[in-house]
Amino acid sequence: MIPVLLGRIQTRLLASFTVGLIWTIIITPFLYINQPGNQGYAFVLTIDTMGGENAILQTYKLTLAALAITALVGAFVWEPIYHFLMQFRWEKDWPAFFQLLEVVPEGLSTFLLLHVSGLNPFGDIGLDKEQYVPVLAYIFLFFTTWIAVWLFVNGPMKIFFVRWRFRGGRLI
Amino acid sequence: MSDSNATISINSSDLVAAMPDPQGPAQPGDLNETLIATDIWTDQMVADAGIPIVDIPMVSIGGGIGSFELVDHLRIAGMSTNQLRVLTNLDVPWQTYEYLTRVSQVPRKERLRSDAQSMPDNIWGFPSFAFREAWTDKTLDPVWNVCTEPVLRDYYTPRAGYVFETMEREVHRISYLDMCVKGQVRMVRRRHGGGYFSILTPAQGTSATKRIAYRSTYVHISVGYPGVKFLPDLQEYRTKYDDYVRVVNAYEPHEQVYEELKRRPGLVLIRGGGIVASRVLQRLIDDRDAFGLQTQILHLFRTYITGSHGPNIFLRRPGGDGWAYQGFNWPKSTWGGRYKAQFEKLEGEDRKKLYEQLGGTNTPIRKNWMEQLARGRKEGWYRTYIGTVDSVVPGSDGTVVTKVKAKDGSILEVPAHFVIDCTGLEADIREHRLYADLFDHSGAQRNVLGRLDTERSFEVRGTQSAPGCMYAAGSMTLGNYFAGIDTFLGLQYAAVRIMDDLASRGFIKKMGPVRSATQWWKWARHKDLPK
Repeated sequence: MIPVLLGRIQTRLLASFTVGLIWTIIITPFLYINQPGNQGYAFVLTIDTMGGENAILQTYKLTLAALAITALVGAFVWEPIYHFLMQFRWEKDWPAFFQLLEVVPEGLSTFLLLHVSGLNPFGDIGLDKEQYVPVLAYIFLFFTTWIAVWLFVNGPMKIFFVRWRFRGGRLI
Repeated sequence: MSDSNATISINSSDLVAAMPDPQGPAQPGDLNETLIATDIWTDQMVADAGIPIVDIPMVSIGGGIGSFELVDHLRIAGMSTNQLRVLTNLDVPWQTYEYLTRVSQVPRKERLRSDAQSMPDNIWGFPSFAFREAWTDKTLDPVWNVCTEPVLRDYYTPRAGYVFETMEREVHRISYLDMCVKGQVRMVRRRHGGGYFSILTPAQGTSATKRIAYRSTYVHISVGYPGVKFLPDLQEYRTKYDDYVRVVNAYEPHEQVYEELKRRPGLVLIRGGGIVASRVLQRLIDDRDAFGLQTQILHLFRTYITGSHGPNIFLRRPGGDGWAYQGFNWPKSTWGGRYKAQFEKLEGEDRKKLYEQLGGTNTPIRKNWMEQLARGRKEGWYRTYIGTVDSVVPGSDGTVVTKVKAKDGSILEVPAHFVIDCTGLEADIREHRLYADLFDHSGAQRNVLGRLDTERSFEVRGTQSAPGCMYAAGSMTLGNYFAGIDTFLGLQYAAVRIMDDLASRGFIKKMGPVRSATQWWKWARHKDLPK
């Protein structure tokens, strides 16, 4: 698929909130994070509470916030930037390889945005973990979700939408 | 020299030459003066001529990859085999394509210039040829290639043979051959009361009458190139000196050139700067390397490109060493991104301007080609010339002398034992009798590039015969709202648009995501479609 701007935005939103969402839901309980207090690292699944709340629920808040930020900031900030850069290419195309490399700037931008108090849902688990993003777990989550979405968009998505590739990624 | 003399017909099928218009005493069921002169026919007129009428909702004329793509889409959308007939002189859809690629030096084992996701046997584009090749050959290399192209690697392109084999499987899966009727279509005329008559001249001995009329609501025309045109100066030389051995076109069989070069060392002049020139050069150099030949290659460019070129930073095509470089025959976004959207919006002169801006001869960057030519330049057996050709005359010692006019007006004489024309000029659309008849009798018009004018839905403008309509796709519709039409993916795009248009007319059901996905699953398991 060679995108137009509207197609980039629609595809980003659709793929993030389908494949991205499913993968995030599946992987979150298995993330290996540094829990509040001094018990060290543990699987989310095995942590009892975080600030008196269910640890799995708390972690879902964080991972879903990451997904939403990546989808929305990606769609409305990054995609227009990529679209602009694409205009310098003679072919006006955006190879899958570039799409894969987008993981670097977007991984960083979402990571930084998660440290903004309004955007990080971890504020309520205690002072020592305020706006907390477990780095290794984040990298694992972000990278695997990115790959899942990237693979879907570059492959099986076309099975469902036979006209999509001719419409620059637009679905409507 | 008339135009028709300059056209090399594409003899991929014996039927092309074997079916001239009937001469001499009238045979039963033939065209008569009234029919030929009348634009819109009544059923009675056809019956009076004794031409049998076959009723069928739709016909597709051509039977090449364009017809096959449309039929594949319609079959997958749910059309049964008794709804459509393909009127064709070909045995299989890829016959002409394979003929042209083979003579222009892409035999089955070589790679085409086609994207991994442009798959004639698969309407979805997934899994791409790269993944399928990886699966069959048990190697990850093609996958790594498509994941990193065009930055770390050149574009992946499929082997010609693999494309034909997969198409063959799909042909059987959808019972395509059951829908084919052998013969040559002479004309399509509108029918009084709606729809069309397509007049077929069946293969000799297969019918009691000279012609058969297919009466249908919908007609699809996808007959491909009428022929390849020779450069006028070369054609003049060939006719004047009756030499068809030393001056050849890359699109006609010219194996004798390579054979002769194996027997004795020679000079070869290549004309043109496109993909075919690249291919022929590769063949010459491969032979040189494999058999230790002393072939000297002279390459004449009309326009010599030295680097990136274009009016501004947003419109700059890479180039160098004479060539303009581009992965495929149009910029990639022509099939689905910005340029596609732009072509779709523009009318008349504006559209023509965009065609001119993005068109032009070009060839893909391939590392092995660059290496071969760099070696040739270094060792002195590959030399380039720039200029236009003044004339071509016989020289001494069995050579052909090309007089090249440089920019400053000076004339340089370049002798060679062989001249290979790789410019690939296409003949005028009127060279095909079917199109000429459409222009003269059915209201069809020429578009901004002089070819067949169509709507965005690929309906041929001016030929409506309500409730029926006529569609066209393929190289002869270049110049309309979609530039990449003469490609696998372009033919698929046309098929999608025609399929959707037919769905809006109630011919088939519109294909939604569920049907699409379940049909893909059938395709993946090689499940035959119900007839």
